Parts: sequence; C-alpha cells; structure tokens
Amino acid sequence: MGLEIGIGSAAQEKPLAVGIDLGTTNSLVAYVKNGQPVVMNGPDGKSLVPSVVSFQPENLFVGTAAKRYLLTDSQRTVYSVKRLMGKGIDDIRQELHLLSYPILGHGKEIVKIQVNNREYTAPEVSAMILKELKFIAEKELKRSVVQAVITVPAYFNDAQRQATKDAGKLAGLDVLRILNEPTAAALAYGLDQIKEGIIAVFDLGGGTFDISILKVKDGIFQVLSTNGDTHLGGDDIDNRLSEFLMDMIRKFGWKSEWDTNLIQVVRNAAERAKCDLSDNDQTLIRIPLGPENFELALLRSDFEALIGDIIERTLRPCRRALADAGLEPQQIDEVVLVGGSTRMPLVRRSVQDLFARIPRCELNPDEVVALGAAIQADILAGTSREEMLLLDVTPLSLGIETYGGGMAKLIERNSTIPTSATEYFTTFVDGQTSIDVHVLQGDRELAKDNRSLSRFQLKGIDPMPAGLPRIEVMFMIDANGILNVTARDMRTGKLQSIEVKPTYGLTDEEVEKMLMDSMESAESDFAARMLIDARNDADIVLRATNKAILHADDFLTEVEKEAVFRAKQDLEEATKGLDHSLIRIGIEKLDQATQRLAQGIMDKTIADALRNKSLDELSEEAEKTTYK
Amino acid sequence: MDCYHCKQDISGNPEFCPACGKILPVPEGRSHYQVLGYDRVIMNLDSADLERRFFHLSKKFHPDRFAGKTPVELQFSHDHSSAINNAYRTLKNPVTRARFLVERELGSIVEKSSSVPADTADLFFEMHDTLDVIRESNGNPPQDAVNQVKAAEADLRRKATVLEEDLQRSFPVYDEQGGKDLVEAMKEKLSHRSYILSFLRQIDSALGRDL
Repeated sequence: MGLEIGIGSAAQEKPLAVGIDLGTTNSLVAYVKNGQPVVMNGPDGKSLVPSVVSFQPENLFVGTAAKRYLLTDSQRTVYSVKRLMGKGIDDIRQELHLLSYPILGHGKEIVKIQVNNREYTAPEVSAMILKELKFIAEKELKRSVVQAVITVPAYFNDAQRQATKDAGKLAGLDVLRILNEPTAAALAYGLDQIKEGIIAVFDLGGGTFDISILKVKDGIFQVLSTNGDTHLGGDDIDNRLSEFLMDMIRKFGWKSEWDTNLIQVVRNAAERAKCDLSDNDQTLIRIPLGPENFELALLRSDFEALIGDIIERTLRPCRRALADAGLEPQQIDEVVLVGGSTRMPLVRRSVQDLFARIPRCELNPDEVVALGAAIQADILAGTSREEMLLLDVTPLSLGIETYGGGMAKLIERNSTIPTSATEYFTTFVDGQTSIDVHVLQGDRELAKDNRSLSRFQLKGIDPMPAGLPRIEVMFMIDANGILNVTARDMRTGKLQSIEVKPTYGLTDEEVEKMLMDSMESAESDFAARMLIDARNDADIVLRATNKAILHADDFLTEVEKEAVFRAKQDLEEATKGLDHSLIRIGIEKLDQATQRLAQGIMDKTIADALRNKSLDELSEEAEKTTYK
Repeated sequence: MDCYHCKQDISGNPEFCPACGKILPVPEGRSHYQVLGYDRVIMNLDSADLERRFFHLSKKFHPDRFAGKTPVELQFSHDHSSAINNAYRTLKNPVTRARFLVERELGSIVEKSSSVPADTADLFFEMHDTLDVIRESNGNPPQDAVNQVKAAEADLRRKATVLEEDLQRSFPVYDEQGGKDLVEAMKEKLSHRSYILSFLRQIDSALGRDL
C-alpha cells in the first residue's frame, strides 16, 4: 500500500475466485497468488476484518471502523450476526441479553435486527460484511471480484447454510461453494504440510466449534465424520468472564445505573484479558467506572477454573466424531488447531490429552480457513489442481415427519455429499389432491425435537381413490450441504410442482427484492466509499512523503525536490475535494515524483533484503539508522 | 437414445457422450455394484480396491469438476456423484453390504426386522426386568443391578462381534456357490444383530450414558 517500490504484479486475466471466511467475530478474504494462498489486508493493514457493522446516521461502517462504535453506540452497532443466521426468536432467547442491539422476532419467522427504524435480516447484515471483503479484494487485485467460496461451520444446518448463500447473493457475489471451515483448514494444511493420513481438525472459533476427521490420500480429502456445537466459542468465554466481572463490579459497590455501553466496555476488557492470559500467567484488568477504576489481577489458573466447563464441552463432539468415523483417538495421525480460541493453553492441553499427541498449529489459526477457502476457490475456478478433491459430508441426519409425530430418517448424518434419497408418497383420503411434507434435520426420534427445515406441498394430484397416487420425491443434498427437493408423479412420469417454504429462511422472491432494494442505494454508497478509501490512501502516502522528505537533500536535485513538493501540494489539495479519481491521480503523481528519493533511501540505509518494502516502512528504518 | 447436447446416438449407456464429451444422465436401474464398475455381485470385496474405484470415480464426476458448466451438466454430475457416494457407503461396510444383498435377493427390508437370538432369549428376559429396576431408581440404581447389566452388556457386545464375523465368513462362500439358503442365513444373523444393538442402546439410555 502507499508508495510501492519495485515492480507491481502484472494483471492476471485468468479466472479468479476468492475464498472468504465469514466469521462470528472476524472475517477474512484470501486468494491464490502464484499457486500459494494469501490473505488480503483491509484499509487498516490487517487481514482480520471485525464482523461488525455500525449504522451511523450519516454513514455505514464495517470492520475496524465499526468496531469503535461498540463502546459508544452499541445500540446501532451489530456484532456476532453469524449467531442469528437462519434462526427464529425461540432459538436465541437465551442469548438475547448478550446482544446490545434490538432484535425482533415474529413467531416462527427468522429474527430481524432493528436499527434506525429499519429492520434488517441477518443475511442482509452479513452481506454488508461480505461487500467490505469484496471491496478489499477488488482494491488489492485491481479488478472486479465476483466469484467466491464462503465458509461455514461444518455443523451449520440447512437454514444456516442457505442464509449464508443468500448473504453472498445480496453482496453481489456468485457463491461457487459453501465450504465447511474445518475442511477448508485441512485443505490449507494439505497443500504442503500433510500429504497422507487421518487428520482431526479441531476448530474453536469466535462463536462455533467444529471437529472434523478426514482421510487424506492421493490428493483426496475425504471427510469421515464431523460434529460440533454451533453455540460454543470464544464469545462464550468472553461472556463468562464478563459476567464474572459484572458480579465483581456490583460487589465493588456500584449501582446498576450503568449506561447501555457498560456491558460492551466490560466485554472488551474481558476479551483483552483472555488474549493476554494466552501468553502470560496473569493479567491486570482495569475498567474505568466514572471517577474511579475497577481493577483486578487475574491469574491464568483462576481464569482456567472459571471457563473449564466451557472447554470441556468440546470433548463430547470429539468423541462422537471419532465414534462415527469408527476410530480410536490413537488412530489419528495428526491433530490440527484452527480458530483464534485454540491459542488458549487450556484448549491445547485438552486436545493434547484427548488425542494423546501434540496438536499442530504452524498455520495462523485465524487465517487458515480463509487460505483453504482460497484453494477451493482456485480449484473451482478451474485453474489447475486437478489432482485435489474435497469429499465432504452432511453433519446432520435428514428426515421427514411421519404420521404420529415421529421422524423417518432418509439420509444419515456423515453421509458423503452430494447424496440423495427417494421416498414415495400417496394419499389417505379419496379425491385428495395434495400432500403435505415436513422436512426435518437432526437425530432425535421425535419430529418436534429436530430442526424444522421446510414444509412443502405436493399439489395438483389427480383426484383418485386413497392410496392409488404414487408420488416419487427425491431429496438431494448438494455439494454445498443444501437440500433440494424434486417430485415426480409415477403414473404420468411428469414432474410434480412443489412449493418449498423454508421454516427459518428467506424465499427466493424475498432475496430478489432485497437485492433490488440494495441496488438502488448501492451507487451512492459506492462513490462515498471510494472517496473515503482514496483519502485514506492519500493520507498514508502523504505521511510517508513527509518523513522521507527529511532526507531529500541527500538524494535529489533542486528540480526534483521542487517536483516532489508540487506533487505533494496537489495531492493535499485533491483530498479536500469530493472526486476520488483526482485523489488517485494525485497519489500516482506523488508516487512517481518520490521514486528516486525512495530508491536513494533504500540504497543507502538497507541493502537488497528490503526491496519491495513501502516507503513509509523504509523511512522508519531510515530514521532509526540515522539516529544511531 | 440421442445426446441432449449434440444429438448423436449414445446407445450403450456411456457416462460421457462419445461425440461431444458432455456428461450424460445416470442410466436408470443401476445397482450399487454397477455404479462402482463391478460386473456382478461380489460379497468378499477388497476394501482397498473398493476405495480406489470410489476415489477414481469421484475425481471424474464430483460437482467440483463441473463448476462453471451448464446447470444441466451440474445436475447430472450431482446425480452421478450421489449414486457413487450412496453405492460406496453401502458396500464398504460388510453389514450394510449384506443388508443390500438380502434386500435384493429376498425383497424384504432387514432394517425393520429384528428377532431375538434363541440362545440368549432368557438373558434378555432377565435384563428387561433389571433395566426396569434401574429406570425406576431415579438415578440411584442398586449396584448389583448395574453390575449385572454391565456383565450382560459385555456378553452382548461379544455376541454382536461374533455375528459380524460369521457374516463375513459366509461372503466368500456365497461368492463361490451363491444360493438362497445362505442369504436366508445372513438375514437371520443381521436380524439377531440388530436386536442386540437396539438392546444395547436401551442399556445406554437406562444407565444415562451419552458419549
């Protein structure tokens, strides 16, 4: 970013698809560059984009820019929206008190988020995060990015997967695949770390936990089993520590007239303390409360005692996944750690105890899922890698409600996808022209204990005596883990019309309408966005120039110096205007004018090792060297 | 029959059109064995060979290989791939493989039939009572009842394993001689095994076990 020294990458015009890790707390985008997956950095220079959207009256903020409003305007700042994907109000009642923004739920419909007198669905908010990632990618790659692979927790059900796919569509992406996060991580490790064997991927993220067991052989990544808990992650640890701190704060003598943001301030402190305790044996928590400070020294051992039962909840899914794969822990060749929460020493010890081997973590646990998604995107874009193939499974059994409220299983959990099952339906009453079918996901005996996926009606059946019609219904779980249903009248051989109404989701029409609505405001959003972005870049370049210019006399002629000053002034002028393209031109010109200066500083202070570094890094180096 | 794309003749059920190379629909009525390229039923399968076939066919037909192709081609690849996955899942496990044979040869659904093995009828009878005692103890079962159940449980697990081994021993015999009697015998073993397994599940739930 900023002034780049060296030769920029030539525009690649081969098919390009990115991999996106849409996380509960952070999201990332990556792509494959010269055969290797790399993450892309956002405007703040970091690859992690906080999954936060803040609806400020004058502007919409996403990522780091939105995160600061968590502390000051938590009513209009939406976080952890992934937890709301594909959910009804009854699903999330227990965690409503943890969310500072208002949530609306009407009966069995999907929940809505209310901000500034408007209602947003979770896919719409997720789409805003996805748009930000798309934007980051387009800026880095200097071309439009449409195709993407988006990851989801392996244990996501059909509604949650569909909601993620809808979010992608709303963000203007062509979603090539919904990919399971642990599978993506396995792919990233498989690229050059692990070539053969049975691997267990232990993925404890911000909000979800997955365990997947894979067999890697001959370039095939075959998932043998997966299990998890879509309500278990770093968030739960932050909440536990926050509740503990709130208790202490109350005991500390403080009244409950807190402003609405206190919970966020405490959560923030809790999260920092948690991270701190991954590297240190103790930490000091300090929370400003009016004129005084609340202070607490927390030992790692006390922290571990406080959260021990949360970490223990990962063990049962692990045992179940092993049982479903028909394996004993000692048959696992490698265990791979994924997700920021696996940085906690307690997590590492638990995993090590369970599998009796030291888990691997060479790849950054925050980035590995996005890297894997990028590889899968590369495979799907058809660039190469014909030897690699992912074979994933469906995490939950699929069935239909039987007469009397039971569930008849049609597809067993951990079946390799795509997979299908055929079921035959008939009528109970003479002259009956339609049949209702209720599709469920889960492993419980009774329909009411399983997740309702959708209801559909087989319509237009010719009136006949009961039991005579025969309708063949095919339930197909596609490569995304999403259900598709088709029906055929066995007598006529004709395709039967079905109207599938998702229990917790959007219909295709609703997604279309949202897409149209967002198109209208998209153009003005985009221009505003381009301006902010250009100004930010200009700022970085100007700061770098101001530092470097101190050394101008050593390297530049008067004429050259004059050119640099002029270019600098022009850019400063341009940033005051509203035309982002003028700012871009200014940046370009200043870049050219300072090229010799940058070259000079580089030659003088540091040798070839630091080629390709940007000028602001270089001038920092230069300053250090000068003042030695 | 003609190819949907280039209208050339495609008789002989090829998977790809010999003229234009497009993927074709899955031929109707193929058995799991045919899907995986076996020309006849083989009960004594070599699992390494089975896996090789599965991997090879997956690389050929998986929807990942058809990303960016037309919706029709993508649909056919899903159909092929799903047939391959279903076939492999059924055949790789000796128990489901035997069940497949029984259903094919005898036309009956084994899954839903389970019968009490004669030699353990008394044991089951006794255990039903003991389990009732445990269930009614409100989470505080008498130790001797628990011990009794655990002993029976170990015994039943052994029996289930023996049944599975017997089943597999009959596979090469069936491949050589065939015959309905053998299939009937397999059906009985499967049915006994399924009774034992469902009883073991009852023990688990009575003891409040959960993995």
